[in-house]
Amino acid sequence: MTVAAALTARQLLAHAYGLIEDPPAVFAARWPRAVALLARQALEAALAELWTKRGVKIGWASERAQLLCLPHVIGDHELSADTVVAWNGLSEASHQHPYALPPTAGDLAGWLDTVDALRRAVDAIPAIGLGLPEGAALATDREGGDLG
Amino acid sequence: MTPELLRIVDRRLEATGALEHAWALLVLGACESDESLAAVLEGRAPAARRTIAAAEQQPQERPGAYLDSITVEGFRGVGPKRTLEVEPGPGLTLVVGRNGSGKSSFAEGVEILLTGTNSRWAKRSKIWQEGWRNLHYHARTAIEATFAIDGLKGETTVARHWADGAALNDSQMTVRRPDKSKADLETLGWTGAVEAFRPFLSYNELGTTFDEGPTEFHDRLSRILGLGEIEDAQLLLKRARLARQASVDEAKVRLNALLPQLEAHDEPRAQAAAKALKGRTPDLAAAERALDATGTAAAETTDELPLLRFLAALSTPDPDAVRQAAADLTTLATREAEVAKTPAGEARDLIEILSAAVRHFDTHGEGDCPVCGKRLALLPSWKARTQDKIADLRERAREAEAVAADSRALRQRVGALLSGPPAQLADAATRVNIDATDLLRVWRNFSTGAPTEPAALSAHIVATIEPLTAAAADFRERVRAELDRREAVWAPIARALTAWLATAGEAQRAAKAVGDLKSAEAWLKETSGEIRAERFAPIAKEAIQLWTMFRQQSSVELDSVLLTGSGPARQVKIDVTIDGVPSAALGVMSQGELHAMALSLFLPRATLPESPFRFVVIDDPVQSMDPSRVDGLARVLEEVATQRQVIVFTHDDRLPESTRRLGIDARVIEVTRREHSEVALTTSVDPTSRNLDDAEAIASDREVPPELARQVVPGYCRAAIEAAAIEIVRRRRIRRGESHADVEKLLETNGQTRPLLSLALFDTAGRGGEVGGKVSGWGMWASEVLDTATHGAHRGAGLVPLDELVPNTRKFCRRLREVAT
Repeated sequence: MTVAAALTARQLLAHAYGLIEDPPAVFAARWPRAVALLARQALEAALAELWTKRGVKIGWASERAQLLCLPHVIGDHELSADTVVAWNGLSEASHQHPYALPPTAGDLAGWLDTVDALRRAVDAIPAIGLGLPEGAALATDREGGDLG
Repeated sequence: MTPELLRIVDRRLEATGALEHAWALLVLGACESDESLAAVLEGRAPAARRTIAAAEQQPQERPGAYLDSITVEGFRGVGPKRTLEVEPGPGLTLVVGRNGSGKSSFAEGVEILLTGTNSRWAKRSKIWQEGWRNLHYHARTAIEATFAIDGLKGETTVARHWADGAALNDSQMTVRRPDKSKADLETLGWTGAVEAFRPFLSYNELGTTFDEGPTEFHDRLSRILGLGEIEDAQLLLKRARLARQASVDEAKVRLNALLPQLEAHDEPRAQAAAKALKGRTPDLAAAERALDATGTAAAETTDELPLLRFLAALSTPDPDAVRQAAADLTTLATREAEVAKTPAGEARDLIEILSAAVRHFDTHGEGDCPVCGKRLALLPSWKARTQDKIADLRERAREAEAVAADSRALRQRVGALLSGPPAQLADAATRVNIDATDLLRVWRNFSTGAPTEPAALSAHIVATIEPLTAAAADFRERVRAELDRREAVWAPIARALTAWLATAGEAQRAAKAVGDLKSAEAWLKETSGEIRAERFAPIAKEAIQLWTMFRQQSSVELDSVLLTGSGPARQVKIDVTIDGVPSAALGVMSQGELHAMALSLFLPRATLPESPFRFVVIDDPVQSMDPSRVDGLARVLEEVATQRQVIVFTHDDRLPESTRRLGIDARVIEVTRREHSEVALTTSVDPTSRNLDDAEAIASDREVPPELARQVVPGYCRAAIEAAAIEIVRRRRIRRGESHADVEKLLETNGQTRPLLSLALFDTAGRGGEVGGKVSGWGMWASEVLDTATHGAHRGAGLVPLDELVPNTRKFCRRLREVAT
């Protein structure tokens, strides 16, 4: 296993869906946080790839700032709004939060679908091949396709 | 009614002197059950005394039941069969799950299992009631619970299942003892107890407790407290009274319809009955006698019935006898004609003379005739001739005498036949208004117009008997018709009277019972307030104690809880002081305080020693309670859990957090629900350990793909560190006296890892930049943990091996606690 190889948004989402649909036994009651973490990571990966394709050096800009730019970059306002909602929910769910319990399967499935839609929107954008920042693997992995 | 409440009623009956009255038993009967009241009304003794005595003999001997497990399948939020196992003994169990996780399915499941219905669903519309089956799972709908009952080795199982399409309240129930023998709730002694002690309380029930007006609240509370049983008893008495009043009224109505008929009837029996039934208290016995009486006995003087019966039985000369007499008369006439040639008297005289002459010849011998003097007339030849003549004369005389005797007898017979109509006939016929002139005419013609000469007489009676017989038959026919007519009018009235008498007896007894029932009702109404107060007193006392634990920083102090008034004026009087100033409670209390108040009132009742249930199931009491109230709740639950098995379902971590922080022993079970209603149950510890355990389990599981584990494990580690920090901050600040609300706000606004650690380490959120330096002082490993956890949550574990990361995170959390406290 190459420890450094970061997973693509698609791979992360595949794991997340897998945990909801048919999780290994150890995840019986542990999946909500894991799914939230994976979805959140997938969202971040998708954003990273987006900036890569657009040739934007996003650097350490906060995620909030990245999300504010989103409508202007992908043009789909509804998807952008959904992404903000998913990001908020997933952030909340992946941090320890006073008193709050893990999100429900319904919430998570909705957020996952949003992230998957964003990922596909990003995949559909042709790469312009400008500067590849830290996530070089992102640009090499481009199988795309449906995740079910 | 529970034996305890019965005993209070019995004591009151004695104290108020009511026991002297017969209706005191009605009160006891009504308080016990419908059957018991019926028994008293039938003159038997109620079982109440025995129940009380039995309860006094072994006051707390009822074997207590603890919940051991609840299994739910295809019901509400739970699809495939899931079992919630709890520790069957005193203690606190918290079942935690988000709304919609399926946790309430277990809480409601127990309630429905034991009651067949559910407080939340019962009052809802049909649409609600139809949604109780699980939407994703159609294989089976069933609820089962196992109980550990004191004194019974093994578990007692109570199960309910629903056939396809069956309604919520249409389920099959099975109860099995540990030895697998069948039983039911009744034999377990749970049927009444479920309602009396209600070991379940839902958020809904808590929430609506105070929403209604003071009267409704009173009713709800007295129902929750089992005091509704007094109203039930009053209702039973009222129902029994109304039923009897109805039969009294009906008897009266029917009598009022019957009386005019009786009075209008010329039948003396009707008159006698009417006389008996008039007036305030109808004399049923007299009416019955009048009905039973025969006509003659009823009234001698005025009664026309005997006259009619006499006329109906009127006898005229028997035509056969008349014809025989006529034939005899004819024969007699012939014989008389024959014997008339030799008059019998003359013959007898001659016999005497000739006999004397024979005696003379026998004495004096031959000689001249002493009568005519003829010479030598008396000779032996004369004697022979004369003796023959005497014999012949004797024969003739005897025949004449026989005819005379027969003639006398026959004339007597005929005379009897001709005796004529009885003297009363004319008068009687007039009085009963039946025409007898025809009969009288032919009869007189028959009897008085008769000739004396036998042949003529014979012809006369033969000629006149036919019309007489015909006229008499016609007359009797008319008399009988009149009798029938009178009977025909009477019969239905007699029937109606008989029927009325049959119910009137019952109605008269009912009238007496109505009076007694009224007295019993009045007494119960008058004393129900005192009974309530007495029954409620220990509960009110405990409620005040619980409230004192609950209230924490609340300025509301509970002085007394009283159920007061009756009828429309009944209400719950909750006396509170706010900052020492008396006030009306409900208006000034927050929703959370109201819930706490409802719980304070509910818990003492559910945990009464006489309840067979040693468990209490509370569904979501935390909603709308502020954090300090949750601490109060945790303390209250801890207190109750020393004696009882307390199972609390709750939708967030506030109550578990409170028990952890306050060091209250509690077992926490988490409920999570995936799609298709698959529900998972995990025993939970504090969030720090929980996250560490999760991280460790995922990291070491061979089934989990390594790249997946590397991706998610750091996120669990970060959550563990954050949870440890939150716990430290909360504990420290609340102990210091800061308000719960302020602490929660501080934690909310500093939700990221570094600010939280800054708060934990430096007691301020602003020194996040110094966290790394502080942590590096613990060692390289600590810096690596902090770095991997915070960044790895986003990017995965990077180069750090998971089998180092997880134990090191555990170490990190422990160190954090040591440093911060």
